[in-house]
Amino acid sequence: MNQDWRVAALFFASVLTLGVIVGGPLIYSIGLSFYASESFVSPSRWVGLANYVELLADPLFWKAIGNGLLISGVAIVLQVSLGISIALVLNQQFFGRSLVRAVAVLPYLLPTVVACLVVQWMLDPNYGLLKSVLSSFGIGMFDWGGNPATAMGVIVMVSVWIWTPFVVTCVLAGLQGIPAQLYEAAHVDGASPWKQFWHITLPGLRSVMIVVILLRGIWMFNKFDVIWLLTKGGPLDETETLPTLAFRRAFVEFNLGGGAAVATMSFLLLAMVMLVYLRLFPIDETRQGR
Amino acid sequence: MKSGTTPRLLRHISIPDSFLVRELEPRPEANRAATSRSLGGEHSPLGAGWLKSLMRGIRRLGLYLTAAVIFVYSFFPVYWMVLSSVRAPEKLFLDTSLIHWPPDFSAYKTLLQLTDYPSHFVNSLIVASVNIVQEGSIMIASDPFRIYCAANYGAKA
Repeated sequence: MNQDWRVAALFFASVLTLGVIVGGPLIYSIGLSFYASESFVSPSRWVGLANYVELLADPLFWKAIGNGLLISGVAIVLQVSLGISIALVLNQQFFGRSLVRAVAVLPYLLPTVVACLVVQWMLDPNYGLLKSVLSSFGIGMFDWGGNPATAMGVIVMVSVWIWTPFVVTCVLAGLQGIPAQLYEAAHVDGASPWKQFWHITLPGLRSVMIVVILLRGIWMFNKFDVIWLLTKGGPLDETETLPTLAFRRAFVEFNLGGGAAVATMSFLLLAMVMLVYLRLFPIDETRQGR
Repeated sequence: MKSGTTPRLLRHISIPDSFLVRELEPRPEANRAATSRSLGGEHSPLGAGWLKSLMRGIRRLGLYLTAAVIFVYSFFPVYWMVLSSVRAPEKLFLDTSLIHWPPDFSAYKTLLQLTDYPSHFVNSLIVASVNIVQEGSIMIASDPFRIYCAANYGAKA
């Protein structure tokens, strides 16, 4: 009985801590979206659902959803495919493997701000490294942030560069868990390397991939720092996503309620997608067959 | 090394013994060997020794080239960051050479003189450590609960 009491105390303490840290701001933010307010200190006025009505009629909101889905979709596909490929290479035996493995994780250790600044510096249309390389081929200066397609490409490229190592690390760990006997058996049966990859490696990585894609999906859809640092949603809102739109509404246009409404809609959208995803691919070891 | 070493399940299949023995020999690096050898090494119809070693050589070369590409891809922006930091300020906007010697540390001197770098560093340290302690303690606190549930209800929490 004494044991029961202590376990319950620990459980409620952690639930309470999480509730205060996670639930508090969430409820506060949802509450804010029903008010019209210019800042956190100014007097706020109850407007009900007006912020949402205004938001749903705003074409920029729908554009931001599309941009967010496009950026996160392309980035996740690239991160996962590139991450699996790099992990398969780094799983081979070769001289200097530990060095290459260490360097391959390096982008993940760099602060996002630094990575974005370095990329901007390299792509700078006037002084950048790429400009001088291109001009040696006779190609003139090009503003990578000034064109909607290339601006989006730069955002995707930077997020792929920074977060592929996360996929590499998880896949490398997952590869160690695939029994070598399966490959031997496949080899005896004369399965080609491609078939071995498709029928042994990929199913073996299933549980890892489910978690990795879930986490990358959440993080990419909520990605604010890379987009804000590289393009600030520009040029002309072409790379605006829901997080940057929420920030712009709340802290640039001083429309706190509008920003909170964007954040709440973004949260609901993501929660719905994640519920469907978890229903399709449950993170439950017992339900997953190899 | 005849039929005695053949696994029981495979004994009734009429495959030449020599084939089985060779295939089932324990390999320490079986994981790699299984994926990399089947491309045409041991039982390739062409079979000639020099061709096999040539194929293996090409595969090794390809592996090292891919590893080199991964290295450069991951390392170059970091290298460029460090290189730009030791370029003299007056050359920063003109020079895009890949090697810069001697290094110019004036940017670091300015950083320490003009900004409150040590206190920023301590701030990062405080934020990171408090975060780790907080998340770690929540994780540790929830673990007895999981064990307790597993023991008492036989369910995974």
